[in-house]
Amino acid sequence: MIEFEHVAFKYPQAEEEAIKNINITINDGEWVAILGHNGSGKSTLAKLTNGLLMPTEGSISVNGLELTEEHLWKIRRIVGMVFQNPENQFVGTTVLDDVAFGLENLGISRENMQRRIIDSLDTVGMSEYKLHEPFRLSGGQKQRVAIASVLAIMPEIMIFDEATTMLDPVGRRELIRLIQDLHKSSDLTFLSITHDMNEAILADRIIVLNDGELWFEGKPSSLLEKSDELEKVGLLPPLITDLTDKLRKNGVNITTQPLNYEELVKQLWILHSKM
Amino acid sequence: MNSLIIGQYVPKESIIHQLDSRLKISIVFIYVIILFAAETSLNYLLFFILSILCMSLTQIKLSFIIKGLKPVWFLIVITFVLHIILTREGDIWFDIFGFPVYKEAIIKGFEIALRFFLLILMTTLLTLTTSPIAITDAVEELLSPLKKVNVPVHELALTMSISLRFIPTLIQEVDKISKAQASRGLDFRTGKMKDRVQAIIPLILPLFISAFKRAEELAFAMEARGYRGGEGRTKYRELRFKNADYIAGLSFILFLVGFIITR
Amino acid sequence: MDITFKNVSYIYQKNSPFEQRALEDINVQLPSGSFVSVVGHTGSGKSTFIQHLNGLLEPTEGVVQVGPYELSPEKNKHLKGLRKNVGMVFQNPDHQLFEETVQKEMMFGPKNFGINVTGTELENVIKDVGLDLDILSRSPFDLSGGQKKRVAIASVLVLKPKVLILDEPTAGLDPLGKYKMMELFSHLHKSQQLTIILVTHHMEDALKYSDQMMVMNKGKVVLIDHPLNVFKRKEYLKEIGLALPEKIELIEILQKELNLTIDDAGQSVDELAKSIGDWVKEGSGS
Repeated sequence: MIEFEHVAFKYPQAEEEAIKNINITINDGEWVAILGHNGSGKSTLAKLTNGLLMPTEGSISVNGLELTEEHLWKIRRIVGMVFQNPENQFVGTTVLDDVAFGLENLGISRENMQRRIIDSLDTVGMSEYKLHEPFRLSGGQKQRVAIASVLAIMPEIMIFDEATTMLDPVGRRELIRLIQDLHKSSDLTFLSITHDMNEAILADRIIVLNDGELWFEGKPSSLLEKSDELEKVGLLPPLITDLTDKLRKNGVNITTQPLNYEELVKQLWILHSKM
Repeated sequence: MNSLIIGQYVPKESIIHQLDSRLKISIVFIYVIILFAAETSLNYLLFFILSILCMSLTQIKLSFIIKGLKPVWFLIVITFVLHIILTREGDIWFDIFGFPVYKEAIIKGFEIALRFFLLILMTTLLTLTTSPIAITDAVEELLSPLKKVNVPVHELALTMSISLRFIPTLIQEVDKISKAQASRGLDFRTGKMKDRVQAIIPLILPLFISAFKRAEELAFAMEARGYRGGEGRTKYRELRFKNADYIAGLSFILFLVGFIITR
Repeated sequence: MDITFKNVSYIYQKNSPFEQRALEDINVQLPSGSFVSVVGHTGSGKSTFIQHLNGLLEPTEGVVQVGPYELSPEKNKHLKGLRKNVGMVFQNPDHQLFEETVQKEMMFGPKNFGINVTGTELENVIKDVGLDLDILSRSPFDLSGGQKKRVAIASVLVLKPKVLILDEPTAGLDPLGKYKMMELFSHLHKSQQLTIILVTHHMEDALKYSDQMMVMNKGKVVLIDHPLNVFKRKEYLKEIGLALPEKIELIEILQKELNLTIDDAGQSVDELAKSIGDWVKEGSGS
């Protein structure tokens, strides 16, 4: 569980706070997406969670441990993080070395390492690339390795800090599918930072930040109900929401906000049959 | 430019490639030192045979190595010629166009040239058959006694391996930057020397800024994965002596004995 | 400026063990004033293709003709004139920004090409890309990602190019930033008759903005046509690893699940909603 209490953060040279008085709780096993435009403070929030940045005000706790210098390394064992740029988080000279890096830091024995490395590479489907050097991998493959590197540490919470932003549509789609599968098959808690609406609505809950402030917190469907306000906070409604709104204007009475085409088509069929 | 092979690594699976990198570095190190203690022609013969033997065991094409050392041949010939011109003592052997050539000069010149050649050949064989990361690992292990006197050996080795990992990335980046600036009319191939030197700034500055940004993000990524210095760390890469290493080590000791006897 | 590729091939590191054919016998004609989208998955040759347009790469075989400029495998002399007329904006603005102020950054190109730019011209370009004038005196490094991109675009537009090449210009921007950036290009295209060549992964953008779409696969141009016609080849596009625009995917789902046939003729979401609405109201009785 992650708890933010009155958290604020200001970068040393900045005039304004990047994060202003944030209060949120993220429960075990939950998948929470944090949305916001570029510069809304969402990445800052991610870096506060595992102490890469320390709050200037308020307090943060992870599994009951308060984020202080004393608990810093314990918290980093609990919270794994995948970053935006696939290139700049690849430490090792090969895939194997990269996954090993985090395990070496924790002082895991070599025998244990080998098993964990293979297991986590299997999970993300990258075992056959284990001897590859980073420049021979695509962006999407590097992000998979980054996920394997985090999985190998066996954290309880995983943060994806815009992990899909720099990928092409196909790579992004595959990575999102992997994240979905992981969410289903494990009891990990996910915190995914993104500005992609289609990605965010897959989560259990969405938090929208705007200029460092909490603008929305709730279920994906209730965020989509507010579609006409999204532009104010630098976001655009996904096509499905745009279409639903316009169908309603055309007199089609769609009652529950659809999150995907399957749900929309089902409702359309029922309405069509009733006519 | 691509023909120079000094410092390059050619992945193969030869006996030499598979030898422990610590052993290879130690052998080359000792080889280079005692090469300067060589005196008799038998000494040199031994060195020559050892080098040729190693070379033929690498499975790398002879022509590749010889071609790759082309710029070095030139230096070797120059050294030889300089010796002949500058040595002015001993017996005159023969004359070329009235220029006396001394016997000492030929022998000394040949000796120096051979030494130079063997030195380059052996160190090149080391890098040709050992991946940069294996060299880094070996250096870290071999220097580990220095940790006791507070030399940051682990940090140095890590810095080295990360630099190696980012070389291809940075080469790509240089290409992108130079193309972006060339598109805005920057010309660093023609023009006055002064202009060409100035044309470096629009290349270097973006490169530095992006390298700093990378370094910052990499530091975050390393910290997030629990990196807090060398203490308490285990190592995944393992260097272990195999039978071949013992045989190679023993052979080298035999060579040393041979060297001392023929000296 | 008309662009013509005639039997163009490009080979990286020719005559070495690493030899790699990146373009294979490309024959295309892109008329002046068109908005062309170049799509294809990573490694399909898109990037090699566009680098031929301003002579960053020169063909190994064949001839590239851009207006009066010709690029052939032999020595090419007029690269500077070509580059002045064909502006290229790269994906990452950090790869080009280096001056102390935005104004100096914008004058970098004109200085290299020996062009005079008046204060009013400079201000007009800044306004064209949707930035405020007070940005001129600021350091490019203090700007946001979106602003940096706009400055990079301005620093190319100030050269008054006839052709503008954009290499994934919206990568990394948030949705609204992406939308605004694409609207900017569309505006430039219409108001200044700029020929635009856009390399993109976003099929939505290719469909919405371009009048020609060029699909590349394994170094070859496999399709070149109006986007609506290109997207009719759904199965083929999927086969070569390309996604379809969401709108077209939706039309496909409607056809499959509801047996509702709507011709994808580039209609707006409003029109689409109307067609679906009509179908719902029509009911199953009729």
